[in-house]
Amino acid sequence: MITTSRTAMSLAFLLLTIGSASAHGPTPQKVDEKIEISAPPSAVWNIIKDFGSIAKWHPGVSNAKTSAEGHAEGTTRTITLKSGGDLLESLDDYNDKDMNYTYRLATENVDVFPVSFYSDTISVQPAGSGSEVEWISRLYRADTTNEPPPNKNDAAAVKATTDFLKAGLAGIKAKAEGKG
Amino acid sequence: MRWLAEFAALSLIVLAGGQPASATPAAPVQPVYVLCQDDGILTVIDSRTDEIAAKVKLGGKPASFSISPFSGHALVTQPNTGDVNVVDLRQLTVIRTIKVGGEPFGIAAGPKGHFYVGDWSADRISVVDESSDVVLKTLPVGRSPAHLALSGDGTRLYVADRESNSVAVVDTTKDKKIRDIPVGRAPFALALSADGRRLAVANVQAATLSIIDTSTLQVLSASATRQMPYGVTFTRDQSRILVSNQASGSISVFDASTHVAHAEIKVGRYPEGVAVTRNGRKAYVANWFSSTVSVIDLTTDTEIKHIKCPDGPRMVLVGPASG
Repeated sequence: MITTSRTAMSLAFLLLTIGSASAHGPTPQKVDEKIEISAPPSAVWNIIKDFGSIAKWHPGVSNAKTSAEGHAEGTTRTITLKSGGDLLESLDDYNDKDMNYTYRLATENVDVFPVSFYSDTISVQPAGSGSEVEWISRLYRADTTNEPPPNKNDAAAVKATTDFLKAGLAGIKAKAEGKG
Repeated sequence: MRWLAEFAALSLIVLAGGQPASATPAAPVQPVYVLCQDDGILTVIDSRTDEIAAKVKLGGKPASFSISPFSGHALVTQPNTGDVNVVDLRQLTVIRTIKVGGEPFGIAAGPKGHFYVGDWSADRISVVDESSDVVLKTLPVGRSPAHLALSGDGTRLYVADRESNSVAVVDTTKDKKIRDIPVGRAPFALALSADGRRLAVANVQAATLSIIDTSTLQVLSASATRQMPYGVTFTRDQSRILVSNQASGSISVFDASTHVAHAEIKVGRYPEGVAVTRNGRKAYVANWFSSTVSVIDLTTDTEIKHIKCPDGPRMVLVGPASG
């Protein structure tokens, strides 16, 4: 039995190694989530504008730690998911005036979040008398070979991302509308 | 190159349909081809009007393409099915599909009827004969071969080996890799200057543009771009190099002699492929997330239009029949 479990373990290790070797597969996936908020854009932006603020408004994130103050390109944040596990993200583009920023996954952790790479942008725009927050993601599935297992395929990656973005947007809305 | 003249004549008829009969003989059209991965469509834009002139349904999730100087056909890779679609650009239809196998991604076609296609997950290049559709040979390269570039005479192939952080150089007369040139982290897109003397490499993770002298195979410089450069091209007069910065939503314009960026042009969301018209006046950029194509006026370095296109545009090429 020991031999069997060892074989299983080395197989699992092998699969993991293959998955991370091709960090980017050939077909990126797209997720685009939006939410309307009854608060002025500047107030909504104030909630999310700090790259390290995510743990204060995302119900699925228990902790976030940035490498530095401010918003220089290359600033990293480590987010700890409530469900367990860390993701390291890196800031690529920050526009205070236009109220948006873009960041990427710097270190994948496909066992806790089944995506091998993502580049996300979150933005605040005026909408009617309030605001709209849009959060978009360009992502690749956890296993980028042509035969991914079901928990590492495109559908799993899109679902995990959609759930994460939706929960975060709901968190921003609750906080901005004074219900958080 | 009779097909070139035929192509120009026929395209003129198709694209000029409905124009007044009194119109003066128009300059040969310059079609711009945009490969839209999510919808599986090769879109044809007429660069005179900057409107969509035709859409060729391919199906699947096509990733990349090359226009063969041998046949005039577009050769399109389908990573999910291991195929290469052959698209007749006069009839605007898929005329056959070549089974290459693996995960074909980058592709480059030569003047004598051979084309080269990378296999993303098997770390190799296949050499395919376009006349017989036979895979003649496979050559090992580095990890995760992304885009390919081929010299005009077809004797020298360059492969961006993304996970090896290097560019493989292949002597195609011997089908042999002669060098691995280390570049920045995650090289993805390649472009050769018209005279073949310079190779430009966009390094996604390093956010740099490497310039290689193709006679010495030395890296001349590595200039900073904005974040996540995913596309690169030379202007035909070789004066400028354009780089698309995916995470910055912009195009950086470099002076090709000093390798210094002198302009940054905002485009759509998550730009990827970029191509310049032969006269050097306009550039076309595939904005992957926006599903638009930005048209840039290169005399003023400004975006003058964005054209709504099918979903997931990733790669742009300017047609060979030009004015």
